[in-house]
Amino acid sequence: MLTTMAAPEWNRLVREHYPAVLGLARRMLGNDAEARDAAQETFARAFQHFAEFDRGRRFVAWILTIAANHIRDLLRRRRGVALDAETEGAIPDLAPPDARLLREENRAALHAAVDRLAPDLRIVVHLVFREELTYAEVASALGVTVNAVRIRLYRALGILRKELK
Amino acid sequence: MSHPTTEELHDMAYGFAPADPHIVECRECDATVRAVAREKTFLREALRAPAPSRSSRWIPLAAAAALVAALGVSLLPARRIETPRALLAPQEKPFGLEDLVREASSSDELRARIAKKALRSHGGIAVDALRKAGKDGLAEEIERGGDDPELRKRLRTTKLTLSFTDAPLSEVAGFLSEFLALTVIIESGLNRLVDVNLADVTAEEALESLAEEAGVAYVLVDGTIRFQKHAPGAAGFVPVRPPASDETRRAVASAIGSLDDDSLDVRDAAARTLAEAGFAAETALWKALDSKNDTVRASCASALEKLYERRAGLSFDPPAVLAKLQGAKLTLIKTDAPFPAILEEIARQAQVPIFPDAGLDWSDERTSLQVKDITAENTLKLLVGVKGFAFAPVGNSVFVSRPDRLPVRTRPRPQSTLWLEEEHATLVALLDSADAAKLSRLSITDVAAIRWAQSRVDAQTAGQLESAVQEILAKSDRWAPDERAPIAKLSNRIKLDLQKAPAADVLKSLSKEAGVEIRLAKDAALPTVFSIQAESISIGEALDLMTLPYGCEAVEAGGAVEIRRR
Repeated sequence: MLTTMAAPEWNRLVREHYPAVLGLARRMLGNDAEARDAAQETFARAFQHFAEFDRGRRFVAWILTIAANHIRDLLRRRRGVALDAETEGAIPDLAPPDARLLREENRAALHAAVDRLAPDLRIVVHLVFREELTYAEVASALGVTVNAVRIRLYRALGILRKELK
Repeated sequence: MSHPTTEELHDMAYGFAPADPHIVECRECDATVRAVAREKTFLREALRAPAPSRSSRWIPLAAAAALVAALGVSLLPARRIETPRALLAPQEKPFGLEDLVREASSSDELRARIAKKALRSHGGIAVDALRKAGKDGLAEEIERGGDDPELRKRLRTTKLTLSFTDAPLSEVAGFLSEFLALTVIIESGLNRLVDVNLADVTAEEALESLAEEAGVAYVLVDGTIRFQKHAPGAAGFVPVRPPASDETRRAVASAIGSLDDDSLDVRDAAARTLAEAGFAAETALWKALDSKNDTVRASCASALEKLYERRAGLSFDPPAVLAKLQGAKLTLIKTDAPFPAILEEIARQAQVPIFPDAGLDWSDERTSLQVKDITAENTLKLLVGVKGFAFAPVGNSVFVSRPDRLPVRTRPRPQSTLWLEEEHATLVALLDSADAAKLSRLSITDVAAIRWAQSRVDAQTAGQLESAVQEILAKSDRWAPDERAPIAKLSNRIKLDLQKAPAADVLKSLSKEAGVEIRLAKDAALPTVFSIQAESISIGEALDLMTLPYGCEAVEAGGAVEIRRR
């Protein structure tokens, strides 16, 4: 349990990282109320285990790991969708990116296309692009290898390019 | 020529694989890597912006203009997300100067004694807080550098007449010693010639005039008058209070619990633990002074007194910190991240505590930084340079602030409540020695400190320090227009807001602004993209930021600027 001595540090971490956890939950669950509950539950779990937090690690990576695990449980319960349903597969035939994807008006469509990605690809896209975790941190958060992160990232990229053409 | 596959080029752009030298030579592969990097940047920026509401997913063509405008707004910093209060733990106010001032009035003599000792150690820094609390006596004592109050009283009530012309200070001191029947000491090298003609003044007024005439300070200690080089009230220190880990807190609590153990070895080990914990044990030790157990109380008092006796001093060259900063290679990608969070990440990777100046408001400071395999020292230079801040290794840590607030420049009574180890006497002693080897390591950020010291040393040392300052300025003023006429425009200041901009584009734009050709030498290797945000930066500084961290530098070459390997 957290000691009162650690309270200022805890509060700083909560203030700093609550938006990241809420953002991930919103992206994965799509429902604001459910996302807020998930963020609340994530921090409640982190609070209980704060003494075990390895200071050599970045807090954001640790809290997002807890959030990813909790969201995985929620998705599984909700509709039998597991976060890791997609196993490592072949990388799509990657072509050089089309400059048309970079159009400003594609930003809105991009959010929608990311929301349509399978959960295991969507979370990689979110953690890599939105939260800018390192690949090792994403791999650790999802319990997969860095190569699996790489494959999922490229698969997601292939889908997004196709959708935004 | 064999080209990497598209997948391999993606690996390079995404950092899954190191960049292949081939792409520098092959325009086609370089173009692909740049295209992937641009797309990556776009995805990052687009996904960092708030998602549009679901109902607006299908937007009629006619509303396109409105959408573009709306997107423009969405690129501004996102609205602050309120953190639910339920998630926050109750705050505990850290122990600080105000607590010491309060404890100094404690009815418990032990507590009051320790607090007064701590406040005396703080020197001039404690004076304002003490005056505010109505403790003028202690404030005055501290201001006078630990005056002897009895002697001060006597000097105020004794009248005398002094008349000396071109007399050595020692002659006047001899008269004072005889007249006042006390010892007068003159610090070595201060026996200067003085002219004093004072009639029927208090001994205190006479001493003050005499000290002013001789250009020295005086202090009353242990029934003696001492003429010395430095004003006594200036020295002081403020302790570093780095956030303590839970592990340290547990160790401190356990050590306090063992202070009354039957075994001497256990008690000694506990005392060692508390000494090693330093200021992380401060609050717990003060609380433990309430213990009913006399042994625990005495041990805690002793630990606190040792804590406040510490004089780490100020080092210009803390070898351990510099070695860490120069040895650690950092890789980090941060976009529009809070400045302190980036510092935290650098501290984590370099394993060096970094403290942003607590006296500054960092809440609105955000920046983007992307480095790969760059030393922590250069990463810090890059980061703080862009934002107009500076950093200095202090003790075992690194302090980041505005250049005018760096600890080496702290005035005797700084307004901020920074908790930094500092002792002006140490600083002055270092500068006093005018050691050429040490002075050669000083930088532009030390100039203010040297200037401060110049007013307190003899003319010869001041001259040596002036030479050091001139040397620093000559080295620092790389882009002075009068010295570098062909590239004078490099000192022009511009606003830069680059987000992952291709290096070639940035150089082209800087070249246009400066009105000189900026070219890349064959051996120069720069990152493919740069992110630099600065409200006001000279073109020369921008070039430094783009080159120095990557082992290159921008140098004048035949009326143009060439970026080449250092």
